[in-house]
Amino acid sequence: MTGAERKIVTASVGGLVYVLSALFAQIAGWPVLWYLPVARGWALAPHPPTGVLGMDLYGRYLLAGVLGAVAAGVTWAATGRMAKSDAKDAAAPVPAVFWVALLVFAGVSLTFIILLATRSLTPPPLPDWYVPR
Amino acid sequence: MTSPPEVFMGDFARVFVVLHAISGMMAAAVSAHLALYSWKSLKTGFDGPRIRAFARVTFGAWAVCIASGMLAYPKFRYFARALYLDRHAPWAANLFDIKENLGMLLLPIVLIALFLALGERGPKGSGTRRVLAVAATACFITLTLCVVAGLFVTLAKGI
Repeated sequence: MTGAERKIVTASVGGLVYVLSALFAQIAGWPVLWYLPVARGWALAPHPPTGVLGMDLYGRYLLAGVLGAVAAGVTWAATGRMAKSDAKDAAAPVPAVFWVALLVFAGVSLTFIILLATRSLTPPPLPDWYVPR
Repeated sequence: MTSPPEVFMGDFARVFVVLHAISGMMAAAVSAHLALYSWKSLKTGFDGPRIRAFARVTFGAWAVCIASGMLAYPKFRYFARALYLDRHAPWAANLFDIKENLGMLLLPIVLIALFLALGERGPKGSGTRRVLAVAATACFITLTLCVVAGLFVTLAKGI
């Protein structure tokens, strides 16, 4: 394995874990950090507190980033002995894990599009100061 | 009658949205250059200085876009989405969340493109150049979709 292949494998495995974590945190309701923009606080839970507006984007991708970084670190360490610094890159094929990661990225993106495009929203009650404009 | 609540960075949210739009468009445009030069490098010489510059700018613009979007998000989430879009234009609220997730999911692909562009030393037709070309193309397609989605959402309701 060349140094470049090692980088591709590491980034692909980290990326796989990152995108799958982001998806499963959304559909399986993993506990993540929710930011509560109006209450100006944080909550660690699968869902925001009842009746409180919450945003899970920060917490969900923080969790995915941490899990992806751990997976990439483990992969980098595990492939250390396989890497040869003097190996030539010319004949090296693209590691299969890159194509798998790319397919999973496309699949997860499509799943997010379908999930979010077909959801129904429940708007909160309008506050008394609200003036439509 | 109560008054509107204060949200984090609410006074600067419009500035962040402008920065978000400019950096997003820049990331999409420069990633197109990165993709074109990467595909070209499969058959010709590797234009290292240009490709490395495109990769750095794509990553930098994407990072600024994500950061500015996150800073503007609390105000948008309440004043634009919760109070207007969820009620009057749910398609735009859903499109906004699709855009946000696609942009965030792009992180590993942007990093692969950056690392390979900075470290590329292989001959033409090498595996790393093919991965770079594919990753750059994925960046371009995703970023362009995000920019178009962002424009439609802003047309429905800005902050």
